[in-house]
Amino acid sequence: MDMTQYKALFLSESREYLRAISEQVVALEQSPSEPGAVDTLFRGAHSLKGMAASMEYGEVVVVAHSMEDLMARVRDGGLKFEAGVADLLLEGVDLIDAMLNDVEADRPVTPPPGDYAQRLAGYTPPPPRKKAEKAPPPPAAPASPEAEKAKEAPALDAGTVRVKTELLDHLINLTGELVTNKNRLLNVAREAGSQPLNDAVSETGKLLRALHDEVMKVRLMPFEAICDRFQRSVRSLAKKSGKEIQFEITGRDIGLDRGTLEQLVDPLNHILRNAVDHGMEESAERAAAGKPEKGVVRLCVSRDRDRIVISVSDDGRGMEPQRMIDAAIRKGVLTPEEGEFLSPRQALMLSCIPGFSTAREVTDVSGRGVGMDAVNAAIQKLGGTLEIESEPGVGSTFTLKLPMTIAIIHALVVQCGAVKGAVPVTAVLRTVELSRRQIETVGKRQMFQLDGETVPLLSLNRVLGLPLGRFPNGILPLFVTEAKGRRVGIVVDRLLGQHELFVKPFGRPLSRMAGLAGGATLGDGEIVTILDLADLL
Amino acid sequence: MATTVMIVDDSLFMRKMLRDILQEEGYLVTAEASDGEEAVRLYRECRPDLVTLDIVMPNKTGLEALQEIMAFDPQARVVMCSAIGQESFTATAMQTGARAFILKPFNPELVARVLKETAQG
Repeated sequence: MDMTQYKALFLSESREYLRAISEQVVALEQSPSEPGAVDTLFRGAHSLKGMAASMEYGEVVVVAHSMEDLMARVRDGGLKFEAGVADLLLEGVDLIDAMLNDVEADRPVTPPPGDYAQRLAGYTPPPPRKKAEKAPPPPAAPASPEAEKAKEAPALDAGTVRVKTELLDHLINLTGELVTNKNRLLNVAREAGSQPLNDAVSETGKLLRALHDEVMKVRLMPFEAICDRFQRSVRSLAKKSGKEIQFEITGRDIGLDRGTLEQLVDPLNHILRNAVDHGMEESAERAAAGKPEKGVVRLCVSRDRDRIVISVSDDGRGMEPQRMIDAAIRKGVLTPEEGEFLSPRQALMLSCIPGFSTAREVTDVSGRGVGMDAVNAAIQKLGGTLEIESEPGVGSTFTLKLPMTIAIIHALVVQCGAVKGAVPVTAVLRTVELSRRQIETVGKRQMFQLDGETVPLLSLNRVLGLPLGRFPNGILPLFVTEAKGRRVGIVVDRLLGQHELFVKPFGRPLSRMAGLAGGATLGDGEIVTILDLADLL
Repeated sequence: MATTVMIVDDSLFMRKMLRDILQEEGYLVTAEASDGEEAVRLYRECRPDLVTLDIVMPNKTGLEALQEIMAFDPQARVVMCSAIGQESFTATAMQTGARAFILKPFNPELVARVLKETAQG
């Protein structure tokens, strides 16, 4: 029997099982009586073994088989599920994951360490040490029929089909092209002055919007799909730093665009690392402050109309805005005068400036500031925003707000010299037409007053290396955006209004240029460049 | 008329492989279930001539499903599928009414022979 035809299915299903296993391991560690978790773990290892045996991947079989046997010992009550068992299972997950990658790349499979199977077979839990007064968790009883029923059935509904993700990307692409073409038709209708044509095109526009929304929905994947990575990293970080942490995830079933989801893993991991590594105090420090010894880190996903809101909060030590300002001045990224202008909220955003760090020491796992600028840039690239709230002694919350879709965006189109550029409206706080009289010069910088705050001005022409605008009537068009935690007025030659754009990524060499997020075609066929302000400024 | 079969296995990979083997042999796969509960429900609905039944599954194991299917239809022809290391279940399943056993990983010729015997027996 030719097994190569089953390889793709083998890989995707095996990875699903690996994900389920790591999730259940972490769940069991948090609450040892988690109903059905022991069974799920056993079944996952068992199924992996069976599939790998069919594909004749002997090394995978050996590892999965050892994991299955270990779980059988737990299920039958002979072995208690504790950290040692969890570590061995997670090690197995990593081993199999690496082997699956080899299989996928048609490389010879890296054999697992020879002693893995023996270590599992001969595993005995370490004798309990100082925490012996703790009551032992209830034995993981075989799941009762009720518990079995309560479990979510991973049944394949007869009304579902599996579709290649490329096909979905293709559908999105076609829908986007249709939107561009609709805008072209709209122009034609306007020029022809035909009301019936105009109406028909508007109606088509509405239908396209609906089509786009439906296609986007198909691309949605539950947040669940990336949860296990966070659980793994929080668990190992907590272990490394010797802190006791309870990690909670809510909103696992909220759907996000597949592309967005992939690009969220690193930023969220970084924020979580910061929370565990820097936000959370040591147990002793918590006890002294009258807090429960076990710190809580929460990852919440929710939907707010057409936006996804993701927040990471901890009940740790929080951040002092003044300390952030002092540190920024000390590091020379801020002048003392600038420091006085900052609101507490802006002060917290200083952590997103490249090179900024308030960590007392930089550990091997994270250093606050080292990557927050990268996190902020990644979120802006997704058309989203980052907000930081913190209360000293109480904890910090990092909130990400993301648009549901990144392929079709609303953007402000601006003219600078001969160039038309577009800025996602999510990055635009407001537009202003400023009279020259309203401009103040502070030192070498030009500023203006906005809602009682002094906001610096910057010329987009200058940033892009284009000749500066002249503004014969004394009015400067500009839009206000946020860069490095501060509001900035970006002066352009003309504001051309808001457009619905289908963004396409640039190919090389344009894709390698900083500040360009992609391109789009306007209704009249003209090409605009989508500007990545976070990158440009 | 082709012999109808229901495939029960929680792994899509296994179901697909088994389906391909069976179709190659001229069987008509009329139902697929991914857990024990679904298997019982679909058996009542589809009344297939043959059932291949995995043992380790969520929401009712293969053995529990077997009991219910046999209680509903004592004439049901069920072939248990199991992996190495589960021989202990063999006796229980045979007492409950299973007709035969096939071992994973599947050997297409062996699967074909066992199913043919079960269908005729």
